[in-house]
Amino acid sequence: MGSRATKNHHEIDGVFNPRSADGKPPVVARVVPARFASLCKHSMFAAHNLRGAVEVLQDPCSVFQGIRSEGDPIQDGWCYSGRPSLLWHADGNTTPFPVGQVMVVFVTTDLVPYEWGLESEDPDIECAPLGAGDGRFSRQIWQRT
Amino acid sequence: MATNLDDLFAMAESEAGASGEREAGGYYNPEGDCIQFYNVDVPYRRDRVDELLTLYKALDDGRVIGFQLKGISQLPPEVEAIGVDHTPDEVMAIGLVSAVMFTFASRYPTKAVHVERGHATLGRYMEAARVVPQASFTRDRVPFEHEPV
Repeated sequence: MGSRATKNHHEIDGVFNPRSADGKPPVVARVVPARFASLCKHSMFAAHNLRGAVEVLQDPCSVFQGIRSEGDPIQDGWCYSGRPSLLWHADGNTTPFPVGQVMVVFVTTDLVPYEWGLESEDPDIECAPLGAGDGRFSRQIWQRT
Repeated sequence: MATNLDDLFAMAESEAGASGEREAGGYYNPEGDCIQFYNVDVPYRRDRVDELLTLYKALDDGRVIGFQLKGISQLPPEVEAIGVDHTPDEVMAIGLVSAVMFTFASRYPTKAVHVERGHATLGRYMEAARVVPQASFTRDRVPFEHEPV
């Protein structure tokens, strides 16, 4: 399992299946190269941390559904949360992933990751972003035991 | 599980000059219907204000260095028209600041039950707006000129 690139999308294999109870069979997520190129213009920190985001997509410790509030046009989609092994910096160097933070990855219903980054961990739900225990998402669909 | 992203980085480098200096600025992300804006390329964490605004705060000192603003397609067309008499650089800045403040105004209307929370949140929307004029802009990054999907 790995990833493949075409002009229109970059496929990431082995992603936790958000439509099944145990995440299996794994699914394919698709990064849009044009959007990634736009990101690279402004934040190589965020761009490099796609590596950590991929780790989280493939092995999340929690997954939530419903990433927008009522009235917003995008009701569905998922937020994957986890702790990747490393934090990447803009120059390509790495440091240990910081304590008290999680990596969140926001994914559309078409399994397109469109935003990822560090957030403070929720005090009530292990390895979940702040607010997850306070109605930020519609529901939690996965928690690693 | 190993994942090779080298070809994606190579593709981005060829399209966007990813190996050069980073530029302050932002872009419209149609998959998320959001603007992502960065003033400087430093390590940051996301600090969610509400379902529409997330501030990007530097890991070292907590200063706001950018933001994600959602629901861009729901903004009134008047936002896009603001600043038509200004230079392209100014249009970019005015458009972004206007988008931030229109989003606040629509999310926290003064006569709504959210008014109390809205007042408390206004300062955080202002933080996002303030980070914009410190950067340089070019017309190709005007958020309303949507990129092809």
